[in-house]
Amino acid sequence: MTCERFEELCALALGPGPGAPAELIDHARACADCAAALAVLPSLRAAGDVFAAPDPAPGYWVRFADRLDGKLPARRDASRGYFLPRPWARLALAFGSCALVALCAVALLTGGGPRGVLTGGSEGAAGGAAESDLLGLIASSDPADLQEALNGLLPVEDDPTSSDLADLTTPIIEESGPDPSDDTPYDLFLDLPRDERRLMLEGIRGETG
Amino acid sequence: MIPPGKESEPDLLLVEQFSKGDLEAFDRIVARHRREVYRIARRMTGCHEDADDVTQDTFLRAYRALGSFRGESAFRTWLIRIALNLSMNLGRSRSGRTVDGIDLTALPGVASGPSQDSEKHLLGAERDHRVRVAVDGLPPRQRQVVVLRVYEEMKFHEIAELLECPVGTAKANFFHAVNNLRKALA
Repeated sequence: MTCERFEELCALALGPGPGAPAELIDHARACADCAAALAVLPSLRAAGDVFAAPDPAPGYWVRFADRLDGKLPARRDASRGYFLPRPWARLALAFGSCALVALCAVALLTGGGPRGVLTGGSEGAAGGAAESDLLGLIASSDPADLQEALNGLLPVEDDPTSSDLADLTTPIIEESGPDPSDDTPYDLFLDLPRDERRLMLEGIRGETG
Repeated sequence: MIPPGKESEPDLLLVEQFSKGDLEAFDRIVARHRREVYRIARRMTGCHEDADDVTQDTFLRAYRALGSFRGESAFRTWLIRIALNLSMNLGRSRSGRTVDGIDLTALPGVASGPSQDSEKHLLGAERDHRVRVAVDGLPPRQRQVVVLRVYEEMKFHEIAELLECPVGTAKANFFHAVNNLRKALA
C-alpha cells in the first residue's frame, strides 16, 4: 500500500523547495515504507544524466520533416494528383468499383446487356432495333404488322441471286487475261455483254419469283 | 517550421483545419510538439535512434488517426500517450539494447590509466548505469511513472491523465517502482 504522506515526501525529495517540515521528517523516520522509498530517490535524482534528453544535432529537424513528409500517405497521394483524406471516400470508391464489375459480369453471363455493346457487333445492334420494333407492334396489337415484324427477326439466308446482282452492278475490271482452264458456266456468263447478263438474270428471277 | 503568426493557434483549431484538407496544419502540429515527443521518447528509450523512430512513428500514427481525434483529452496529452506506448512497445521488441552515455571505455581517463578523479567519475557512471538498468527492468507502467515523475518532473495528476488511470493508481505505481528499485540497487 502507498503511505498517504509519501507524495508529500516525494515532492520534497525531488523538488527544489525548502527542507521538509519537522513533523514530516518525523513521519519518514517512523514509517518504514517511506524511509525505504526515500532512500532510493537521491540515487534516481543523481542518475539524471543517463535519462537526459539533449537536443538532437543541428539540421536533425529538417531531415526529420523530410522523412516524415515522405512517409505520410496522403502527401504521396496528393503528389500523384489525387487526395482522398477520408476513409469513407476510399471505401465508397472501392464499393463503386465492385458494383460496376459485378454489373458487367451479370450482364455478360445473362446476355441481358445492351445489344451491340456487350453481345457485340452490328448484328446485335440490328437485333436490338428489331426487338424494340417488335415490342412496339405487340403494344399496337395489329396481327399483320406483328407477323411482318416476326419475319424480320428470322435469320436471313444467303441469296445467291441478289449477290450476283450486286456483282453485276459493279464494273468488271480484268487485270489479267482469261485462263481457259477456268471456263466454267459462270465464266461464260461473265463473258456476255452487260445488257444480256441483266436480261438473263431478270428472266431467272421471273421464273423463281 | 511554424509560419509567423501561427504559434498561438490552439491545437484543436489546427486539427480541424487538417480535417478540412489543410495539410500544412499538420506541419504546424509537428513543429509545435516534436521536441517534447522526442524528449520523452529519448528518456524512455535511452538512445537517439530509438527516440527518432518513436517520434516519426508517433506523428505518422497521429496523422492517420487525426480524423478520429474527438478532443476528449488535450491534443498534447493524446500525442504523448502515443509516444509513451510506442516507446514501451519498442522496449519490449528490442532486448539487450544499449543505452546512451554508459560506454565506460569512452570516459575520460579510462584509456590513459586510472586517476582519483577518473575513478570517482567511473564509480558515478557505474552507479548511474545501475540505476538505468534497474529502471529499464521495471514493469512498463512503473517505468513510465518513474521517468515522468522524476525526470520529466510531472505532477501525479498529469501522469494519471497521460496514462489514463486514477491519480491513486499513478501514485501506487510510483511507490511500488521505488520499492522495486530499492531492492534492485541494494
